Amino acid sequence: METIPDMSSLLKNIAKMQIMLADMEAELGIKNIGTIEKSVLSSVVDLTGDTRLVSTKEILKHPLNCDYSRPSLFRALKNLEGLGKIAKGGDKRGLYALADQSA
Amino acid sequence: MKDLIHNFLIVSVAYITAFSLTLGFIVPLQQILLSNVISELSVLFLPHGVRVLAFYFLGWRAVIFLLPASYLMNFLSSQAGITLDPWAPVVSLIGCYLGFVLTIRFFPEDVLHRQFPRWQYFGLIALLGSILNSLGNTVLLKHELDFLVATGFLFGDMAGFFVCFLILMYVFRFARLLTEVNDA
Repeated sequence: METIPDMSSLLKNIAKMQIMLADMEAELGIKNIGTIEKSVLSSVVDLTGDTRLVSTKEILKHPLNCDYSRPSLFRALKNLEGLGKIAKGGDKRGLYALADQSA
Repeated sequence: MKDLIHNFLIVSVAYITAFSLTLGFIVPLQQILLSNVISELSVLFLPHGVRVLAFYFLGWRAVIFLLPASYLMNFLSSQAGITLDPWAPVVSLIGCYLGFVLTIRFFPEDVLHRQFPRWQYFGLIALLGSILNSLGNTVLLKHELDFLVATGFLFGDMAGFFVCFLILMYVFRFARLLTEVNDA
């Protein structure tokens, strides 16, 4: 019985397995975030010390993030938002808060 | 032909590794902590995860690919003092394969049309395969349908499947980390 077409390719099987395991990681909440994401998240935590909301401008200027390019930082913000670590907040655009504090 | 040899080697190495971990680490620990559980029954049977992946990716061929490693580990288990029925590997593999067939028969759209399978789908294959496997092995072991033993087999298979996937997750994570270090 042939189950799935084109399943003889070893690389294809490994890729499928990796995607399935990444999905499992995300659902179990143990997905490892990347170096830039960690840096951006740390800067958000640092900046939210005084205020609840922080602007994208402040995050980009933060010393922890000075080594990274703007596109990488925007991508990291989007990833963190997707992972539910941070959330957009306030009425203005480009304002972020830590996910559990945003309402 | 080259693909077949590759698949056979990967499946055999994965099965032998998972079984060795179970036999060498989990079973002795189980005998100390859960001494009232019979030795033929592992509460964390890691090879079930390997079986599920093999059937999903290789279909019926997995029965043939897994058979030599299953018999090798059956022999090594008897050397370690855990005597299993000579038919146990065949019953286990056929049980798991039937579970896989039932899953794709009754839930076909997911496996055939989804490009990226979700891990819960593998869980379903593991569950149906384990139900048939545990019933078959219980009859072989006890010569009757002892539901307590069957539940033990089912628990061991499902726990083993889940932990096997967790181990694989960390193996892939470690591989990614190594790649990052090499790239840096």
